[in-house]
Amino acid sequence: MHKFRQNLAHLYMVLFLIFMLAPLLVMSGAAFNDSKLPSIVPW
Amino acid sequence: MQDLLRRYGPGLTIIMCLLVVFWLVMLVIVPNITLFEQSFRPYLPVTEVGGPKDTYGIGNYMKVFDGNVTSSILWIEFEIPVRVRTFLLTVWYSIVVAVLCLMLAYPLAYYMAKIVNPRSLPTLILLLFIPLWVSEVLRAFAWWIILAFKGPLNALLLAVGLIDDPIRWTNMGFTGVVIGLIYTYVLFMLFPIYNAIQSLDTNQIEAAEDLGAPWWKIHWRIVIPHAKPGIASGSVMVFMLSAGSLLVPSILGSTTSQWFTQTINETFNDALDWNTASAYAFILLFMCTLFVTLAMWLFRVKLSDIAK
Repeated sequence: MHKFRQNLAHLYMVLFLIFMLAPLLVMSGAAFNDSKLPSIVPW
Repeated sequence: MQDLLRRYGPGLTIIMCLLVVFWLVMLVIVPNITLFEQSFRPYLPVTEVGGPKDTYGIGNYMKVFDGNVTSSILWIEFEIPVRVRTFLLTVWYSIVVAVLCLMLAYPLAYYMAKIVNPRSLPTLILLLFIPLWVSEVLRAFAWWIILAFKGPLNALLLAVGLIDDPIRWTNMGFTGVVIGLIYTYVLFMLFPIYNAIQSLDTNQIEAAEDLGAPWWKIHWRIVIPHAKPGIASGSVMVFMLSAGSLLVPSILGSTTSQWFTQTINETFNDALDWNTASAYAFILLFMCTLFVTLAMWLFRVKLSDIAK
């Protein structure tokens, strides 16, 4: 049970990091696009 | 003061004190007093400023009660001044943001303070700090892209089959604003709680475990009371920053999600009525301070706890 809770905490950490870093990755992608409005595609 | 004098001598101490006084007076007190004074004077054409009509009064503050709209809570419909409604919604959604930030940040703060390997902690903190290196405008626009009708979030949810049709996230009242504010201010909740939990002796948790306490009771009786100053400090910061945010509501808001700071901004920059806008700004400042004081009294949190 203790191990399960620890793994759950690790998973939560990963999800939180995705939440924090995903917008930055999106903006990195959007920096190379060719649209008039902010968007990831078209590049 | 005696300590400063002993350490740095009279010359350096005077310079340091003067710099602090200069900072406080020029950057905090003078601008606020100027706005406060303006807020009691009427909005007049330039030719009438300083004339007989330019007298002090609370007319600008009373404008917040102008213009009623019909609003409803559950099934009860009632008339309410439009700016009062905007103000109450701003306070309500700022509370929602603070509570959701607490729910998101508390498990992570505990994880960072008590579970994670101390060797990987600096890397983790660095990763968490990276979003703060990027401008708030860019981060808000990133969420604008993510929440777009044909954006990545809808694409992902459609791909995994959680939804059948794309959702207009930024047109759903305050949804976009709340998501954007949580993303922007969650770290202001995380680090105070992390600091508070870090100072908790791990032996206390282990002793409770050995005595057979379930995990939720350990948090309720040991960790949360110890983290109370951090929770209070983070909640006040997130609430005040959210209520005073302009950029996120402007970018991620919908037509039905007017934030009170937008009203202030429009009165300042579109109507060019600095007097009324100053009054609105002080209403926001005063009422939010009052609300925070009330919440602190209710939860028995002292000012010294927040300042820790």
